Amino acid sequence: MTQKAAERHRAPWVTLAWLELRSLWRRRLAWIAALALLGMGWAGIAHGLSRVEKERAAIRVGAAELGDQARYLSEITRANDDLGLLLYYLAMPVSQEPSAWAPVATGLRGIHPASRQLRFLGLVPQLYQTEIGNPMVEQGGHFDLAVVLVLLLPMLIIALGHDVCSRDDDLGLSAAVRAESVSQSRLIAMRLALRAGWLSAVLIALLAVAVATLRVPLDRRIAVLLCATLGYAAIWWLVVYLVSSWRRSSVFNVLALLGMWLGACVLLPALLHIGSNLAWPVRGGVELTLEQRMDMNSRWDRPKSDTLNPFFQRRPEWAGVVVPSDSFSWPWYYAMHEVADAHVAAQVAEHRAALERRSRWTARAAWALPPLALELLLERLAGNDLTTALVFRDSIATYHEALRQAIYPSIFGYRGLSALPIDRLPRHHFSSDQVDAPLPGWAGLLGYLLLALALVPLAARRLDAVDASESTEAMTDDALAPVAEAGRGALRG
Amino acid sequence: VRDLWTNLWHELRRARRQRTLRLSALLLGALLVTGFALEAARYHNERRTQSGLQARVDAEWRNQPDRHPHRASHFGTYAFRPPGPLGFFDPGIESHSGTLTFLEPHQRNLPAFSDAAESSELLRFGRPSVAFVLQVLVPLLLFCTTFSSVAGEREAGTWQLSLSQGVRARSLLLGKALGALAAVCVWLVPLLGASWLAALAGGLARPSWGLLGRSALLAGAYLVYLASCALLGVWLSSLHRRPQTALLSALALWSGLWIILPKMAASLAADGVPAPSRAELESSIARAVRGHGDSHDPNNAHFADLKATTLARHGVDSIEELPVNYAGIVMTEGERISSEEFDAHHEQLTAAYAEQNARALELGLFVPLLALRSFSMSLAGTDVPHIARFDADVEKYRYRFIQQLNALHTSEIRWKDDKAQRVSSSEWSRFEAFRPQSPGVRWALRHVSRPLAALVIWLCLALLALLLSARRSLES
Repeated sequence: MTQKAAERHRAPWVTLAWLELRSLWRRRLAWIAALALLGMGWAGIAHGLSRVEKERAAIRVGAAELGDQARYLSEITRANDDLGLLLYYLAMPVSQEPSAWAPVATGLRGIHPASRQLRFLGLVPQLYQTEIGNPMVEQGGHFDLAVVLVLLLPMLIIALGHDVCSRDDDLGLSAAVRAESVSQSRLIAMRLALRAGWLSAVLIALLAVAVATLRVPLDRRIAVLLCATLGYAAIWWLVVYLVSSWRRSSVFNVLALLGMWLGACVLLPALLHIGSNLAWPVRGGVELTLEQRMDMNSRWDRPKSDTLNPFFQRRPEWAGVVVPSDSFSWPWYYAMHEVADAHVAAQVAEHRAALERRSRWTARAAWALPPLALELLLERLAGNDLTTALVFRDSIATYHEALRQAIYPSIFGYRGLSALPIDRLPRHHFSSDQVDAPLPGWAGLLGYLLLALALVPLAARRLDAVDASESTEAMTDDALAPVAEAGRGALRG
Repeated sequence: VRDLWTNLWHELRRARRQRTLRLSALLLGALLVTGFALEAARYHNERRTQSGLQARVDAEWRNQPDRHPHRASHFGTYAFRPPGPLGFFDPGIESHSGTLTFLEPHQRNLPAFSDAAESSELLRFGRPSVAFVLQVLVPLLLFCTTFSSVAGEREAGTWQLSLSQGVRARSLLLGKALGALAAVCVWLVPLLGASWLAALAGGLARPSWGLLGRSALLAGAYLVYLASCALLGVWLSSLHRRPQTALLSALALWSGLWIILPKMAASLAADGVPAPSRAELESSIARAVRGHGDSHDPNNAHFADLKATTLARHGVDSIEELPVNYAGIVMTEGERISSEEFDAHHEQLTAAYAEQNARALELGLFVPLLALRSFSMSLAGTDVPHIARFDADVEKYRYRFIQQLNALHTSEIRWKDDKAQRVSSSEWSRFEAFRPQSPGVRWALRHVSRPLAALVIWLCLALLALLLSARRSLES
């Protein structure tokens, strides 16, 4: 008896699910959405790969440059030549090795050069280089996987989900559907879940393709990518459910959802971008560069002790070295560079702090903006975020210091060229993978997911309530439909 | 024609009555004002900071003490790039190009300190300039206004009714398109006019014939663009029997042509045409300059030749006997050689960008946004050719500046004890300061004949499609 009742209770759900699945399978839109997601996703991965491959080539060129230089310098100099002159020209390769994840979200890659040449001169004028990529391409925004996931995936969700409830009205079936002895809210949820399942399956396939193509190491980052993307998609599906619960027309649903997409994915982030740049400006980059140069140059015309005293205070280990006070000497020359760097050290730190503040505020804004949250998370995963750029900049400063320590013995020992071991100089190594910063954005994604979930019971109640009160009215509406259709037919005829 | 006006009025009234449209027009208007205000503030700040800093470095140059000319040339100077004449309307690529170039001998530095280089990840979401609103969002609004224009009447049955009463389909369709356009222009034109006046009043732009010409051309191009969007929207609607499907196809078209393809086109073009990165450019320049050899090397044929001809010209046997400083002559020649290499390599880079952008624009025939964007940026003075031209001007200035110093080195400094000598500080104020020259409207127009043609073709095609559709609906 009880078993029979249960069967009677379950049967319509299984049948309904089966019917829904079949109709989804037969809808052209479902296939178009799947193909679009796969196609665009693949284009995004391919473009990301091509960009990162270009950077790897630039890094190889930069590394090869050292050998070319050493060969040329050995041709034009003799063993007893001034070491200082050669150091003036010598440049060491510095690079930011992209991680295997880099193609996923190319972010700030292409803004900060990944392959550079670092000279032994002052550090500050070399610290703020920018990449020269075609500004038109940079301005338009690169078409990588992140764009597909953040911007285009919600569009596909809207396209697939907007008529989850109103399609019955569109097809004139609402009365029939309401006559079924199932709760409307669950029916709509079931339908939406089927559509979400369909698109999520495609999404997982796309991410699997990405993981396989990029040959990323199989670690927890794959789980992060999967959870974040599916969570982001789930937020949008829940929003679709909430909007559908108003029981408005398909047209209304599409416009409302599009408005939300436009606001969340395009307008608010753009307004936030320029607004926050104005509100928390990063000043001083240009000024401190000018200041360093000015200071460095003024030292040429000042007594040598003005430079040497602060220098020996910084590096007491060389204080015993005799430096001529009336003529040019290389120890004095390189001391000028270092002291000028030190002259603006506070401003350099301030500038870095301002950028860090900007990065922190962006992460905070992501609490309120899921698209920004996902973008931040993907860029962090790919190592193309502002944090990585700043840590890379720090690594250049650290490396410059290591170079100074390696070379000062030769300079302050007044040694000849032969004393410079180019091959044994410290080398710079930096990979985006080694930056260990907390994942930003997940809190925003989780928060919105929970918020949307919390609103679901409300929406469900609304769906069921409307169902009870309006079913008779709807019946009469639909009863008139054939008449209206006949009228239209007559007009056409 | 009278039918056309009637339909236009009808459409306008219909648009005014719809709450969703009123609301979105309101929001868009608010966004336009906010975007304008933010960009104007940014533009104002940038221009003030940069002219201040340019004045500061110019003063620093003039106030140098007595110095050896070559020392002074290593002291160098800076060139700041001011924002384009209409950069507050369409910032174009400005935020992605450096603003500060250090000018020194032996080296052509790349501009540094772009807005993008100091941005957070938000950079990827773009900026809400007035141009962006007009280029991307107003077409969307037009599609939302027009999707039900024909399909809705078809569904309600009034379409057949109108036709059966002898109203011509052509004037119905055109009237609907123009009505939708008018419904947008009614609030858009006053807002744009007001912001234009505000820009003039706020001193962002100085009133001149050039500015007027730019503004008029921009207004014309945007009108053509928006008109073709309205025509396109009505045409799409006329293909459908139900507003819902008309809306879906209009939105699919918008997301494809306004969001996906423009991004894809630029990325594909960048992948297809190789352009050197900074490291590659610097490395190839360094290799080329090294190929010319070292001027101090007695075995270097070129510099040995220079020495022989210089001695012969002055009829002396040794460098010491020359009435001029041979070191300065070598500097001058070295600068000439390296500068030729800089020019050649940078021209290659600019050509590669131009090729990439032309490739992307070939898709502009299918993507009206790309064509309009090029045109708009060019007239705002914020596109790649403008920035490349500015960089070339800076390089020309750098070359003249350094060679003027080398001339001082040659004539005012004696060969013997070269490095111990100085020239008087009064020399520094004889150097002309860097004055950025903004090219005129005609120069800007020269680069955008193809985008302009593409826009006109789009208008014609949209019109043709609509007329054909009108004929078809008559036949049916």
